[in-house]
This record gives sequence, C-alpha cells and structure tokens, in this order.
Amino acid sequence: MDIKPDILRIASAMASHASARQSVVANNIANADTPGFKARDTQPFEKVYSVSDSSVALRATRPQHFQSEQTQQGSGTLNRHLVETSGASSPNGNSVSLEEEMSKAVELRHDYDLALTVYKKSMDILRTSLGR
Amino acid sequence: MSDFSNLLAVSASGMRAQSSRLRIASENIANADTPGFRRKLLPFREVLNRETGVELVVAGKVTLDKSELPRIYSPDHPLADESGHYDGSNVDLIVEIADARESQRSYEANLRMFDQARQMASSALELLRR
Repeated sequence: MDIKPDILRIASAMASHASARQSVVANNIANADTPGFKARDTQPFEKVYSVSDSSVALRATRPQHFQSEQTQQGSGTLNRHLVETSGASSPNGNSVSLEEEMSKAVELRHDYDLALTVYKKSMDILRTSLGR
Repeated sequence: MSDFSNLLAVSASGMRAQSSRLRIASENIANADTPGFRRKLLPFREVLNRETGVELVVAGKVTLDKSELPRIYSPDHPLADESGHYDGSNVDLIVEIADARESQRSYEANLRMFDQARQMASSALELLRR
C-alpha cells in the first residue's frame, strides 16, 4: 500500500524535474562554444507531470469511457522529452545564449527550492500529527 | 543523485575545455612576435561518455591558422631574405584578447552551474536534518 501523500509525490517529482532541467542547462552552458550545437530545454513541469490521483482523474469503468489526456499518458511519471529551443544562432551554428541559460538556471533553482520547502513542510506536519 | 553527479561532470568538462582554450590564446599572445608563427585554433566538440551516458564537451585537436603570414620589411633581421623581408606571425592581438575574454566568461558560467548544482545537492541533503 502506498501511503506516500500526493503532495510529497508531487514535490519530489518537481524536484527531480528541476534537477533534470539543471543538467540540460549545464550541458548547454558547457557547449556554449561548440560549433553546430543546438540549445535544448526540457518541457515545463506542468506539461510533463501527469496525475495518478484517482480523485482528480476521470472515473472510467469501461475502456470506451473517455479519459483526460493526462491519465492516458501514465501515472505519476515524468516523461523527459528534450526540445530544441529556437533562437538566433551564431555564425558557427551554435544557438546557446548564456544569458538565457542563466535565467533558466535561476528559475529552476526557485522551482527546486519550492519543491524542497513543500516537502519539508509536509514532513513537519506529518511529524506533528504523529506527536514527535 | 545521479543527475547531480552527471551535471557536475558536465560543468567540469566545460571548465576544462575553456581553460585549454585560454591556454591556447595565451600561447598565441606570447608568440605574437615570433617570426613564422602560425596562430593556433582549438575547436570544441561533444563526446558521449559511454559509462555514464553523459555528453561531455572536450577540446579537439589543435589546428593552425592557414592564413598568409605578413611579410615584414627589415633588412637587418637575421631571418631576412634577399629582398629584406621575413615572415611575421599571423596572430592578431585584438582577436586573441577577445577570445580570451569570451572563454573567461564561459568558464565563469560553467563555474556558476557547478556551484548551483552543489548547493542544490546539499539543500536536498538538508532534508534529512530535523
């Protein structure tokens, strides 16, 4: 039986999405001077994360019943698709912009901190309810 | 944690590549007045590390700038030929300094990423604290 509350699951999915995005951004920055390199990015978290919670998803008792798009994709998983970001490229075909990558890095850092804070707070609430 | 160790490796490879580029730029600058010296060029490329599946950036083979060497007129020079000219070097100081500055900037960006990954990993470990 899975007793992990949904909020913890969402928070950990968000944290792992942020760290996956961090590695994509770091890869872009490392290749900022590689000729012909195209900058990549992950899809935003809200698109990537699909809910597994049955209270949120549409109830389907027969295969003919239609379901929301998110539940069809799978449950609680992150599907990591990298997309090439469009942008002006320099004469050697490289499309990495250091400034853009830096702002992405700050953004994902915020996401990560948010996820960790939510996780920590929920754990605190759980602990309080246990009386520890 | 594999994400973190991977991205530390990626940032470190970026820094290594940039520092070798900086070394090439300083070699070029040091030899700006060496007769017959051809400017060195360092291309970067992406390499897949098969063990970890991470794409690292490495500095490739050094190539020489094939552009023509300037002919400098100086009859007293020991290397001067019958017409009093000798081959100079095709290093352009401005280009080299701009290149060095650019690689310094990229190095700093990689360093920031390295630092951020480290901080994120340590804040994840903080969760274990009560």
